[in-house]
Amino acid sequence: MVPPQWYLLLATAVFCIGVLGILTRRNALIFLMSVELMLNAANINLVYFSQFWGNVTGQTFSLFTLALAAAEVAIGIGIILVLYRNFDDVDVTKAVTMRW
Amino acid sequence: MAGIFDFAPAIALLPFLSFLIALFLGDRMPKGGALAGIVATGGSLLLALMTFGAVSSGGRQQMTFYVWAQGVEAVDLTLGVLIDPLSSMMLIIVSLVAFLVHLFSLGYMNDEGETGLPRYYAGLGLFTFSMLAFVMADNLLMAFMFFELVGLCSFLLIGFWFREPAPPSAAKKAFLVTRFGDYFFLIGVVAVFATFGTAQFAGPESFPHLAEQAINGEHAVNTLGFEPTTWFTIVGLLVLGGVIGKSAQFPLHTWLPDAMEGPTPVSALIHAATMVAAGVYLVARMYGFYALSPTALAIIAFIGGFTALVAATMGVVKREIKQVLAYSTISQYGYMMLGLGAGGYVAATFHLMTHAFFKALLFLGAGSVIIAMHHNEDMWDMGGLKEKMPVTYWTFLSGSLALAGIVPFAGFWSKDEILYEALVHGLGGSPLLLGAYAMGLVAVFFTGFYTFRMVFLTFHGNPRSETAREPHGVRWNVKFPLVVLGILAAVAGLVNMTPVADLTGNHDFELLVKWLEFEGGDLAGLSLANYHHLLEEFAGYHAAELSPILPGLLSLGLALAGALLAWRLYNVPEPTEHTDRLGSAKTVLYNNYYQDEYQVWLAESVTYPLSRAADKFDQGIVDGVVNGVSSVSLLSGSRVKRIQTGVVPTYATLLTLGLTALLVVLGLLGGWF
Amino acid sequence: MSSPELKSDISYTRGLAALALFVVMAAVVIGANFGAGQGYPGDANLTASIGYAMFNVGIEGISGQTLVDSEGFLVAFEIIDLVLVAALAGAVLLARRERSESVTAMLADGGRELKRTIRGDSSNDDTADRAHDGGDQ
Repeated sequence: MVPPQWYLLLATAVFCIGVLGILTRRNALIFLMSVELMLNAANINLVYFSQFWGNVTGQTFSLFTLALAAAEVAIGIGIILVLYRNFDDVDVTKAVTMRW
Repeated sequence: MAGIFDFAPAIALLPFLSFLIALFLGDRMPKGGALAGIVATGGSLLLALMTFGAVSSGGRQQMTFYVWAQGVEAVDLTLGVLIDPLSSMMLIIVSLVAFLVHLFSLGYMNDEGETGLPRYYAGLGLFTFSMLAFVMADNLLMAFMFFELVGLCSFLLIGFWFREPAPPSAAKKAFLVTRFGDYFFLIGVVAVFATFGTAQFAGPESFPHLAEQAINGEHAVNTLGFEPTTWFTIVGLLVLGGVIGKSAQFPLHTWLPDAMEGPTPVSALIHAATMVAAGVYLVARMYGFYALSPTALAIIAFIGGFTALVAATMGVVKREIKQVLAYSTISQYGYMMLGLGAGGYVAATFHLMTHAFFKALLFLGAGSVIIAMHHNEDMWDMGGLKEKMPVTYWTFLSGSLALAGIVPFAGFWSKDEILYEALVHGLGGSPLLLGAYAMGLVAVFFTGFYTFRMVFLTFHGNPRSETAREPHGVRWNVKFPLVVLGILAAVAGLVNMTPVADLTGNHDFELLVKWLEFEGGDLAGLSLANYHHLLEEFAGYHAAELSPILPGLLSLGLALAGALLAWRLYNVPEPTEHTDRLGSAKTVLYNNYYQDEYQVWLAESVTYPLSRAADKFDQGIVDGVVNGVSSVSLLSGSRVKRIQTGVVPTYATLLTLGLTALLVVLGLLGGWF
Repeated sequence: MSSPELKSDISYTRGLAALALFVVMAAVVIGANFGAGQGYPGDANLTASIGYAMFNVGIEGISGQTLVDSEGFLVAFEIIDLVLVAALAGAVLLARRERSESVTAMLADGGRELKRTIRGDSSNDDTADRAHDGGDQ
């Protein structure tokens, strides 16, 4: 069995790539994709550790997180639509009216 | 009737009640609150007479009835009442003059159709309350409080006609000049508390008694490292600051002539008989303390004598009748201070009493003349009023004879006793007093001169203007107070006829001496016998053996000489301004030795820069600290708010950084690494 | 035809935060000690296990199947069902355009005939123009 450190490192890397995407990308759709990446990094961990401990709870739970991710993306797309309607652009750095 | 002492606070509170009535209900009352004031002061007079009766049958009272600040291992601040011969005498004087002034105001203010009368009667009521409470005060702090309150009422009443430019300015000047003196008084009060732990005037725990014991070495008080006598002199001089301001002595006398801008009844009540008496009364009240320090007494005597002379010279050249009377007031209070400083306690209080009567009379008479002359006060427009206003003339003449000191009117007995005391104590071993005596003696000549100049210019000769030919008539409410005071000015002197007593060897003629002298009891410290003892032992005042007849004749002669000179110059049908012959001296005198200009210069060049610097300190440092604290929060707020840029990736960055920091901290603490 | 290139108009400065996070987490992870893992039993039917676990069935075991242990996820299943419905409705709500209350908004194209039919024969061009003014948002 593969030692847990590798999988954890993999999940960490995927998570941080997702964070990198959120921090640096300007397109709101790419933003949503990065959020998906982060969620899936958590799923990797869940699935691996379900095998590690011999309990299938982890895998079952990961199904739920996938469903939640889908729901969240649905709402996210709706929000991006409204954002586009108000600012004529999906660039997140352009929507800065809620500031000091 | 020992129960009457329980009503002692009512003597002061009745006028306070009339103040409230006049203030709130005066608009609806027919005479604008006058009747409330008359009833209240009449009631106070009645109670004061009954208190006088009780005191004369041996009653005394010193009662603390309200502790308004309980000290925690410190002094207690109290309000209390002290009834002894001196205060009961003063209570009658104040309430009598207040009552008569209220009556007179009906004629001066109401009949002349003045507006704003509720304010006037409220001011009079408040003043009467404060003055009576001051007289009855049993400790120095309470005396100070009411001292200030009478100053406030004086300010309010001088500036009664505030829509014209002069009265508010005069009121402000009066308040500021007396305030300047009161500043030293306040320091003195604090010094008394710090030194003795008490400010009571009377009783075995009073501060004069403690001071005497301190000098004898029986009791230790905190004298800040000085010799006890030196320190007590300093404290006495600090309190004297307030006295000089309030009693209009040199150099703080400049406010009193300007205070004549107020209505004449106010001048009669406040600036002749009562408020300016407050300073002298205070010294008399604290005489057990002042008697311990010969330096303080000498300074008081000198200031008094000097003021008497200087004010008398200034009164010689004035044109307006009230101005002459104002300078006369300053001069006469100088006499009282001379009397106190020279060890003549009885003489000074005697002169306080007689002066209250005849000066109030003269002011009210002047008020009657002013009503008649349609408020024209210039004496050179008057003349010949003797036939048209007989009651005013005869009472005014009675007052003038008293002022000049012609026997047998009141002023002669009291003023001569002061001069006699100064002379005998001066000859008895304190030669400094002789200088003050000389100044007082010269002032007698001038007093006689200016008094009769005033009388002759106003009442004798031919009328010099149209209003003088047809003067406005006055009613009974003006004449009645004049008659009462006229009789008093004539006979009040008979209560203490020292020369007659010396001549006949019968000391029953010295009623006032017997009144002020009482033995034993808790209030023994206030008796004349104690004061004599203190003066001899501590101040070194011994009385030389001299009959009072000769000095009395000397001052009588000088007064008659002054009067005679005025008769020669001014009792002619068409008098001229003979004072013009004094040339440039007249200019100096007319401008009051330029004291007013000098004080304005002081205020502008010394006080104003100092106050500006203090203001800068206040705004820069005191306010600056407060503003600095708030500006720190404002500045940090305005900087920190910029985090909220509205750019979502920035928020995400902050989140990530925060998460990283949290992980690092938890890891270090939990030993993950 | 240009080769794909890295998007250069974004700023990579903020990405350093992500890098720092990775470094920290990697440091924690590498130093962690987990022990030996268990793994699944050899012939376990994982899919069946997931299915039975989803509906809280087969806690004691089903005859003829080797199941792996699990918790029951029935409540979570129902809730996620509700969440998905809510997400769908929310997305539709967010996506629809704001429109005014007037009925004329529905008559954007070719509505004159229908309008004339609804309002009767008294309509003419004026009323039609007035109607059109309100429909544009």
